[in-house]
Amino acid sequence: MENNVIELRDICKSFYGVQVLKNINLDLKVGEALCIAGENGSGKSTMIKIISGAYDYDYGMLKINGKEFPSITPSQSIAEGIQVIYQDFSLFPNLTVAENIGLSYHLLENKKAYNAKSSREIARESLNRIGVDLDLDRLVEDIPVAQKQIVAIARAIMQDAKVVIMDEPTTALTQNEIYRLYDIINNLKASGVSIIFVSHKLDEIFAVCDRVYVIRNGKEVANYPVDQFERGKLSYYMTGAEIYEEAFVPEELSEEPVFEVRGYSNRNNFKDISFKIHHGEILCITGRLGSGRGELAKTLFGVSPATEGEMFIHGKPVRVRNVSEAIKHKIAYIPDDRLAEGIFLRASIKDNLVAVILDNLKNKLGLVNEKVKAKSAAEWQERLAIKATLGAPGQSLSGGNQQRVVLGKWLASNPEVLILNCPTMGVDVKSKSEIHELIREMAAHDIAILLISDDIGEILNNSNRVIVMNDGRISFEAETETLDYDSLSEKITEIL
Amino acid sequence: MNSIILKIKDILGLGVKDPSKVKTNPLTQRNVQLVLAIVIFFGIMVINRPDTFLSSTNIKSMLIQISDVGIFALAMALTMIAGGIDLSIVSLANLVAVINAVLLKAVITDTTSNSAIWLWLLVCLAIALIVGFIGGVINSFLIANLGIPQILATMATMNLYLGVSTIITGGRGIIGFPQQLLNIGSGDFLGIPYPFIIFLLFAVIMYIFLQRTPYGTKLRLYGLNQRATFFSGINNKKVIYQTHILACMTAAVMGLLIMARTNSATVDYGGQVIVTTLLIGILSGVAALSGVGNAISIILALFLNQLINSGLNLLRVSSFIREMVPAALLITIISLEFVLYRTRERRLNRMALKLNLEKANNQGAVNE
Amino acid sequence: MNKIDQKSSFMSRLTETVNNLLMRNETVLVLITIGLSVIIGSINSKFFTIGTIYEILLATVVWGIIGIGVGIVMISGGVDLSSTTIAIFSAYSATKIMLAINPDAPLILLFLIAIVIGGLLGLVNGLFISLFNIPVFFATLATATIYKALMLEYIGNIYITPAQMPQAALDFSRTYVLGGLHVSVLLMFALLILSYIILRYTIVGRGVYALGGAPESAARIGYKLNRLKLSIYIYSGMMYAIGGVVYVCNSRLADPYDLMDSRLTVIAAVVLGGFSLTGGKGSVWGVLLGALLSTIIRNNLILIGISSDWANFVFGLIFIAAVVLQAFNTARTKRRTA
Repeated sequence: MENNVIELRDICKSFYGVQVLKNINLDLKVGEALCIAGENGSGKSTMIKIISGAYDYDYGMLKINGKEFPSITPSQSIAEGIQVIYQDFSLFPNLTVAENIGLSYHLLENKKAYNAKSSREIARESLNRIGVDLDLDRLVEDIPVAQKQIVAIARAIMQDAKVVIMDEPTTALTQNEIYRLYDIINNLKASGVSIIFVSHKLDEIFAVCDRVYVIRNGKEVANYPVDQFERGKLSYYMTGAEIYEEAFVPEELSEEPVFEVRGYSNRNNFKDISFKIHHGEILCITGRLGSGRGELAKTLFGVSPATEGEMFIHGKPVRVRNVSEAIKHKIAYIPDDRLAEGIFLRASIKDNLVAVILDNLKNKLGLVNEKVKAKSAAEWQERLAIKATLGAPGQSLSGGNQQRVVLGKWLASNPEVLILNCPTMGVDVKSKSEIHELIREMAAHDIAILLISDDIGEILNNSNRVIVMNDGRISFEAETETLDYDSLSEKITEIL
Repeated sequence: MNSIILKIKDILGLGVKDPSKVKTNPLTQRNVQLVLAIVIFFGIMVINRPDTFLSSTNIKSMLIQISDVGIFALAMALTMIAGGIDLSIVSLANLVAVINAVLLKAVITDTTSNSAIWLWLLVCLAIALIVGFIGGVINSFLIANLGIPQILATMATMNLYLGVSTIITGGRGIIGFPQQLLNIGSGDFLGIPYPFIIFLLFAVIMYIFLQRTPYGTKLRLYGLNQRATFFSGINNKKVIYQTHILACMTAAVMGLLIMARTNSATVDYGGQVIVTTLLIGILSGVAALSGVGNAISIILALFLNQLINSGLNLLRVSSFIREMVPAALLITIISLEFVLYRTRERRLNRMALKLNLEKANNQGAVNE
Repeated sequence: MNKIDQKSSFMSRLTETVNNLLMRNETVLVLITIGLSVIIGSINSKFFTIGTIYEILLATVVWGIIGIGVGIVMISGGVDLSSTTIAIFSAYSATKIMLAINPDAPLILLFLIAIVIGGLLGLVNGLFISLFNIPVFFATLATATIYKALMLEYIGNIYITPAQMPQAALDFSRTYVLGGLHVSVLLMFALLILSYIILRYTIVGRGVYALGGAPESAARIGYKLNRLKLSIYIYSGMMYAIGGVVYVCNSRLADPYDLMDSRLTVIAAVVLGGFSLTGGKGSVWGVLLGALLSTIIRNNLILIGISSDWANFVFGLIFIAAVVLQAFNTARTKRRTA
């Protein structure tokens, strides 16, 4: 077919023996806006990186502009007119905004000399198209995350691209900026540029896309024109039919709150945050990337001290200025970046499971009591149903099992307060619902639970109260049962 | 028969097809590989030079040379487990030697009694431990509190110690120490040289620290992923302090042993030792780069390195080439580990693909 | 945009520029160098004579030229421990080769042979680093030891006396311009300017910064990382070779054991010049300033009555101070963005 810009046939890809893409087929037509939807970890980012040449593929065929590429490098892909806005932005922190945007233009044009002036012009023009005015001479490491995302978008749309791939491009944007992005996408489409838009947000998909392609566990599960696609079916396709979560309804709440903060602030990251969590409750805090939700979680755990505010556990004032104080007060924290901050990939599952409680395993001589260690590790392995031998390394586990190990590591320390920062990111659907199950179980077992999440479906089903943060402050607070998908999503993206 | 071959392959760390089904742990694999290499080299030498190689002089000199490198290697290994490096250990040892040399020269005369000399040697040991402790604290402060990369921080203190030693000595070596000290360097117990016994003592201490204390596990985990240890509530700063203090105190004691062995204290002894200690760290697999070894692997790696070195010496290979061997081994082993990792990944991916295609075919057949 | 806006944005940009300038390592370094010079000069008036200044520049040349190579590797995110080994290897071998083929050949031949050898040794470094993904520190530590052994075993281990040195090299060592400035100082400035232009105005040069800042992103926007790394190590190898030849010429003898122990001195000078070990930062002017400052500390403290025995110690202290300052700066930037 001649009017396909990109064709994927039977593409397979594995990482260290774990298959992430299974026989993927895809056609992208000229001027078409295709949405790729899927849960985190479903393989959509891998798919994009294969098209952009960042990864090799193991099997199958890739055709771009009618040419077959048995293997493709990033520069070949760019030369074929493919531009990508990566989820992690892929910017250079040590270069200026102008250089970040201009450098890839110079590379595309195959120039040998670098012209700072033309870089500035290109950067200015492209930022104007998005309608944003940024200081071109600032280093990217010095600008806030929302501006970084804009720079990443500007870099991709400035060139005469044939295909622009956007991997979750709106995570840090406000509603106005998102609308502006829709306009740009429509303009690009009108001038014959094809778009691949990766997202799992319904409103975005229906606002810009012609076709929806759903991927689950590395396999295509749906591929329909958007007008034949039922809105309600998206999550069914993304998660699979067998999973149905009931909305969380707390059992009896305790009279007194277990965990309370008043007027918590941390420099410019967030200001004046107050909330209470009772026994049996799951409180969820959400917001855009850069809204301060992650910083709040880390400050509560003592990663950096709060500049103002008080914290109470069981009504008693406590101070958490560093992580050891947080642990002393039985606060536990599950980080959002599991691979970088949660699990020790090359250490055994046993060592992983006892990492927090190592000092409790000492005998009188100060040496590790191997029996107690083995017993503790075995206990949590069993309780969390981790399917592997204790001696196996963390990297041999699936994402879901890895997250269980991280949870187990903390549960072994008997926490009173558990802060979960995006606990199901990059976890397969089945494990996800099992982790939700675990969280609910812990809530019932007298642990105060604070869930930080940007997954609206997860929030609606797994919390009884929601706080939305916006620009470092609480902008909205409600009982979860009063909210639905659209109302919550609107609250998250609104501008103050 | 087939299963025995598979078992052997597994123990040797060859041909593992599925990482989740690895039976023998990587540590044992590494140690078995090292023992095997030692046996092979030992065999070659015994066959080639049966008389000289097995002579007691040769074995004794090998043991002494192992301890010359070994104590530094243990100190370096600690910092390498933490994913770092300590370039300052050798110049710290020289500083200790210089300070103690000046002290001994000042207090000991021909008429000093035997017991007084032993007392002064104990003072020297105390000074060594104190200087080592301070050196460790300085390194740790730069690394943990100021966030300076280990290479830079220890390169800076290395320069500083060299500077202090130069000021004290004016750049000249100090020679001539009491016989009691020299006896430690040259004497033996049941044929085993004292320096080697001291090395073994340190190795045992290291084994206990690494394998039996919570600190050992924390250190290993820190080396594998320091952000994860931070978020697991492990006090990273404390781990850095413990590690570098331990390493520097070990190296400082080596300063005394250098005096005992060479009857001199100079500012720039042991320029080549750092490369060899790094090689030992990589060869033994303790470096966070591979993250598998333990104290026993360090001893095995030291023996292997010494066998190769003595072997080349007996085979009359030139000293220039012999000096190059640790470096050549270092770069070969790192390259090899990388290539093996890549091939193993490729093989695993091929297997996953084959499985998937078979499954797809089967489904296709059923559908038809 | 109306005029008032433009003006106010100009003013804010001006203050920001001034702030940035003060934050920059180069500025701090110039201030320290000037401060130190004033102290030395006020105690010993001889320091500020043109003769002393020319002398300092001459003493800086070798470290400045080798420092360019070390600096570029450091921008790309690595620490090169083979710099001075490559320098002496290339210079010593080139001298031997030239003596063997034609002792009366012009100087340019000596440089060319050395540059080819230096480039090849750099290429070997680059191959290990790019093909096998070996950390630069380990790779260059190992290759430095190997190069040294190969030179001593196969090329020679006896030094070439002034009497044996090629005439052109001896002539070079006695060439002065501008009333006493040694010609090699001009060579250093030429190489600094060349490297400045490459780093700033070519795509490859910007790629060095991109590689040091975010290697994965550099690959994604179309840089061929392996090729880029090879170019970096070949270019650096050439710089080391030129530095080595200048060293050999100026000392009028070629000793194969020379220079090798100075690799950390060069790294220290470069770090002093504001380069970060984590990569992505630094400019060639920082190399010059770092090399100047370390030369003044090493050679000129004697002018104010500090014994040369103290040079290592004072240098060590200043090195630590520079590193600490850098750490504080990084922490401040981090805090600002956090």
